Amino acid sequence: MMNQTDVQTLQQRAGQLRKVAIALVVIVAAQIVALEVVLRGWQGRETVIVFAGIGASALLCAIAVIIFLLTRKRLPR
Amino acid sequence: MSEAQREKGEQSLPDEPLLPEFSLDSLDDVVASRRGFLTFLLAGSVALFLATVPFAARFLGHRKEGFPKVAVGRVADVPYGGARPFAYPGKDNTALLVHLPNGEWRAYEGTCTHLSCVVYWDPASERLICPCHNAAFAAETGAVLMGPPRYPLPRIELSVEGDTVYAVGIKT
Repeated sequence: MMNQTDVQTLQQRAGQLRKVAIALVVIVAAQIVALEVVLRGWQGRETVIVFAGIGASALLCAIAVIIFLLTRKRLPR
Repeated sequence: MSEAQREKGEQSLPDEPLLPEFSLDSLDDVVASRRGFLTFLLAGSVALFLATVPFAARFLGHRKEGFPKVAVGRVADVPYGGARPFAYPGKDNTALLVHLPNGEWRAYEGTCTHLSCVVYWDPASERLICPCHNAAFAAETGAVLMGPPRYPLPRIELSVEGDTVYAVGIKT
């Protein structure tokens, strides 16, 4: 039987996971835009645009990994 | 079916759903956990980043390799106001050598910067024409004169040595 504290903790964890999920969805959406930028830069032979898109994608990927690892650390499986 | 048989049938199949594969109360319906969803998103993020890496690799590789020096034709083979196709820098890269009426030489990549159709030399208008969308490029500079392309044709650097024209690089 779970007590009141356990229920609150579970609710907090569920809320945290929801926020993390939203953040990751936003990051993935931004990465799709970054990939589109890279493709357009590639098509137009614009080196700066290609590398800007790749850099943005790398940065977003790093943020996603950090968020995911922090979430794993904080929340037991 | 009689009333008695119907009752018998109901008794023989007490809790069996009508469509077992679409059961509403089965635990099998729960196919994704929160953790699994987050892992999926992370994997998607990494995959999207990895999808951009080949573009960087190709850009960097292209610069490192440099361009070969390739003989593309003899001076006598291309009259004033004429042109001839050739391949540069690789065998699969079409290009066009143009001998301008004023005697100068120009060469451009042979694919349109819009949708990569092969361009041809039109001696009447002295322009490079893309037949797909009726685009035109200036023979002197490769600039877009007409049509949907947003970028000029990449120019191939030439070197005339004796009676031979060499392609030595691409201006980016």
